Amino acid sequence: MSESTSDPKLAALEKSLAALVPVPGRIDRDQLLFRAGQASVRSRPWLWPATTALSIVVTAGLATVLALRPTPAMVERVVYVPSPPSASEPSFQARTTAPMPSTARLDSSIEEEPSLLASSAEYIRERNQAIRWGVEALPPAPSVASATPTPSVESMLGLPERKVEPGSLFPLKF
Amino acid sequence: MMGPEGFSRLVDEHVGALVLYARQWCAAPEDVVQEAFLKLVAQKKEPDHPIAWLYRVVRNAAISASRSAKRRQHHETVAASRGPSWFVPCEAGGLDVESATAALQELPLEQREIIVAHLWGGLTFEKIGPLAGCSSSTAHRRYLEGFLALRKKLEKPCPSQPPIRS
Repeated sequence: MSESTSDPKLAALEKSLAALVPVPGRIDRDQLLFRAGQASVRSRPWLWPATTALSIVVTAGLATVLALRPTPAMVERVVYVPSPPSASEPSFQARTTAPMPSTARLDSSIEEEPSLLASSAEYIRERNQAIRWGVEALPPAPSVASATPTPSVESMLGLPERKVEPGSLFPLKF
Repeated sequence: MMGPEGFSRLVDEHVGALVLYARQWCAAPEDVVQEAFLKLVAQKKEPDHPIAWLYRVVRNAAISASRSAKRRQHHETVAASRGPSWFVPCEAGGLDVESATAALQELPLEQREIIVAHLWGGLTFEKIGPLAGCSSSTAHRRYLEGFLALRKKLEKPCPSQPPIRS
């Protein structure tokens, strides 16, 4: 397609009209270039608003979690506070770390005690054995036959022995 | 992306023609053209043909501004559109500026916008066709019809210059 007119009259008019310079108007060229520079820098206007919105959402979420978090259960804990050591009593640590007395020492101490403490010392000895070695380590219980005969009431009262017939456990007769 | 030098050259070479093009529709063409240049800078990808892109943006914005202005103050818009001259007073040309402006203003808009886009914008008819919403051949036909009408109107040339020989 022909870009210009083929008629010489119209071509002359076209040339004369093209020679006219359009008025640029009241456009401030420097201001336009300045604003164009600003517009070229402002290529990502969503960046800071998006960052702010994200921070707000995260903050709100954390605040909600903090507000709705269940209160921790009360835990009671025994705390041993060391007391000042006294001269008459050994310290707690010394008492706890001190070795338990062995059974032999306990037995020897029991032998030296009076007869009143003999039964309790025997009990303590057996208890320690049961704690340390288990119930199986205890000595077998003495049988009825091997047990020492129980003193009769007459002997304890200083009366002459009375023979009891084997077949008469119930001497009273009605 | 277009550099500062290229953008500055584009402004210097086309701002006047773009203002004249926008003036076909609205009374404040400078604002429209300025916004079009700013839109061009803000584009992430430079258009294939920045000049044609500018003319399209200016046309759409000018039509939109014209509709808004008509809704507000119809009479003021008409008066303002006929106020300033469209061209720099002629020094070496062969036409009277006022006569050329008046003759152009009397042309139908569909012919006038094609004459302005081709004569002062330098756009080809292949570019003007999609811009004006018609085919390139239709644009060329309207261009010729407009020039015939202009020749009839411009019988009196610029007094300081010799008349056009016909």
